[in-house]
Amino acid sequence: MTSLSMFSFRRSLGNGFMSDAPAIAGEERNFLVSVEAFTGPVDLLCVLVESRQIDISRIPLTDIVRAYGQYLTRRKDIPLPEVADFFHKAATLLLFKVLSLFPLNAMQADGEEVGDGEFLEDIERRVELFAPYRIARESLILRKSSQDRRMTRICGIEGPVHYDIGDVYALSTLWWDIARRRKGNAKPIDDEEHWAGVPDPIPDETLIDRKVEELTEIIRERKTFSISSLLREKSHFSVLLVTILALLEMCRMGRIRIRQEEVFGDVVAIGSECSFPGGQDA
Amino acid sequence: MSSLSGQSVLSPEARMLEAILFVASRPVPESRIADITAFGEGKVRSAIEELKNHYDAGHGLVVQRVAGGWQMCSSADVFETVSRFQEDSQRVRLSKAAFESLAVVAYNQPVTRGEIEEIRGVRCDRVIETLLTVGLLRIAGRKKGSGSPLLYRTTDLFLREFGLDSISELPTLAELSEMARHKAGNDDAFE
Repeated sequence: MTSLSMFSFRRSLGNGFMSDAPAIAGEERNFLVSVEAFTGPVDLLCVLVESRQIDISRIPLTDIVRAYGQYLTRRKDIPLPEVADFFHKAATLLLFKVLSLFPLNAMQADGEEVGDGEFLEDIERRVELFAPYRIARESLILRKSSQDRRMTRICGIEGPVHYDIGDVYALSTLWWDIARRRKGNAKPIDDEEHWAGVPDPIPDETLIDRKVEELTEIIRERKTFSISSLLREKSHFSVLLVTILALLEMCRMGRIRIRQEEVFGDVVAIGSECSFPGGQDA
Repeated sequence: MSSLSGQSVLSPEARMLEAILFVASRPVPESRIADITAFGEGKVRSAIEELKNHYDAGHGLVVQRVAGGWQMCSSADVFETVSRFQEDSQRVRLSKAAFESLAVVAYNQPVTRGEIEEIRGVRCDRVIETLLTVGLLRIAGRKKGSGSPLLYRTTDLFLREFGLDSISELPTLAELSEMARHKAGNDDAFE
């Protein structure tokens, strides 16, 4: 365990927030918490909730939050909203614990809210949802540890894998193989059989040529069309890209003229033998 | 099983089964054994039982049911010696987050990344990527609805790595919830 992953709490409790829980000898106590032992904020909150049998008012939650924040910061790959969300929930939990030390009637007399009910409910819901999976995780760790002690024959080379175009898993495996090959960590796939069933990619130029032919037919029939009408049923980004490139190509060839009435408005294409009624052409 | 000079002798069926499992690098389903040996299902089961009992009686190997089949593997008590002989590169080493993600997938499959993240409360893209790479998870299509997110399932390798015959061998979520409630009532994680 590294110094980052373990920290110690040593805190005097002379802060005026005393609960009815039995006093701890010497009013001082150490806690050792491994932050690397937590897989996330909900995991940490689960531990906090499970530890309610000890005097929770004496757990310096702020220190835990700070230490966990440092840990997250050092990981460098944690999105800020996630960290903020954790801090918010941990702070709300802390508030709840502090408020729980006061008699309820005193709270009501001051007209104060007991806490942010929605957030507390959210925390409770998350903890309740997550708790069984913590048990499952520990169970899997034990299982794996036990199974790792049983060695099996090392798998030999298997036969060629047959890819079905509908088999997403096989295609993803193929993708990973290519990715590994690019990193230089795996043998290249040079067996033609690996590609059986996987269609050849169509070059971009061919796609644009096909789209130009398709749009030329539309222009012949309708004389004019808008891009939105073309993309009504095919809104994929690649379709949009090919359509725009085809329109620009047709414009360059002088087959069409294109026009946009307003910024972010629809783009209208019209056959070159026609003219736009007023306005400036693209 | 008969006895010859104080040593137990396997029946012909159990010996054949032993040979099949000896050369197999993957768990062999009972149906496959029945096809190969032309034994009836009952004979296959009794041969398995005989072989299992034979190896349970103080051998360095054991016969284990895993991932819907049977396989021979080294006994846990000789692990230290065998691991020195066999490089352990074949073993998948997982982080705690990976175990947790696997647990969520195992109990909710097919499941999307968003659903895993909702339960775990953290982003899971990298851990899922790792689990896909090592072959413990697989993509099982896309969920219908906005964004059509990918669905994930555990693989046969997952069963083998965790010594499971099937997912149903895991305790149910209800049982785990009960255990969690019990733990929350008794555990004192800070002492």
